[in-house]
Amino acid sequence: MSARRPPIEVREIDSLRAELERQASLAETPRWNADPEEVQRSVARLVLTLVEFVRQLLERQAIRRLEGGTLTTEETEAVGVALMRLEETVRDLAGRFGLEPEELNLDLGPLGRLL
Amino acid sequence: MSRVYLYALLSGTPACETGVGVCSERLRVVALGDLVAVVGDVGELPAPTALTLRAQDAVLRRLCAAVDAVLPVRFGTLVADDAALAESLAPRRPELARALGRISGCEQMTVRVWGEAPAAAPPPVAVEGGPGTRYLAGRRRAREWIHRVPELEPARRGLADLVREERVERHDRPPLLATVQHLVPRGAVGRYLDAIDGARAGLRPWRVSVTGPWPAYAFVDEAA
Repeated sequence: MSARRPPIEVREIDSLRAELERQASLAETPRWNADPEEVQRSVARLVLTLVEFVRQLLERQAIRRLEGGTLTTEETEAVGVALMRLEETVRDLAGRFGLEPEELNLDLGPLGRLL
Repeated sequence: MSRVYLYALLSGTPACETGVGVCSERLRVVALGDLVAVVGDVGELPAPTALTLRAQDAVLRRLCAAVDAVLPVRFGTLVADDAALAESLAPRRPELARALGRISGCEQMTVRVWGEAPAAAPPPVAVEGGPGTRYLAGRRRAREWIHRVPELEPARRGLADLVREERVERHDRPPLLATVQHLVPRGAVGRYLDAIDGARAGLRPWRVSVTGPWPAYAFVDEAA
């Protein structure tokens, strides 16, 4: 921290603080809540996180194959439509449970975050 | 009953005194084949406060001054004893050794990019095909974009010889637009700062702030 520091504006510090608070809230360990509504939301969050994880894996693989030229035109269209609908479904279900997209993640302790 | 608090993995045994840790415990060195772990024996997990986080950072900085490669370990990493430590690290020793090799002789500089709005993304290239093909092309562009910081382009030429590796995180709440972590050879920090300062005028309307040098916190996520 011996580096030179040009003046930073107050609103820039506020912006950095907001980002740190957002990241800290994501890293908080979820706590059990006996409220039945909250149980449904917690289960939905876990299930949708895993679905989102699989969706992102499939998307990466599809893009890798697209770049490698190993998908035909028909396959590209079919995979793209399937991934698009899967994303819409995850967003729709998350919205029903009041979940923001950034909440669909898991802290894996020393291994870091799932997504 | 005390447990073993893991601070860092090193490429060699530090020549200096390792000092004390976040609970004022005396630190010790555990040899694990070609890796060296720096640990302390603590009674309970310390709370992550500004004081304890600074204490952990101080430990790492002390080690960085004594060894070429220091892989910081996440705050609050506890294991039962030295045997459990060896057992947990054994399967990952090759990747940890590679990670140590990557950061050897380097330190981390952090650049934050500020502005009212990010640089405009390049206009989407027209893609022939149906909605699925266009969707996939869009996702591909989005994936490329989140790893780019076009706002920093005017500084690239001056930094080219100084940056060994880069990590980018874009933010969507201005004025903080992006955080860029650079792995810079030790001893090159002055030239790195000169390169940033020399590019400031060309970076407008964006501003950058630089902090560092830090231990290589941002370059251990896959390994430690």
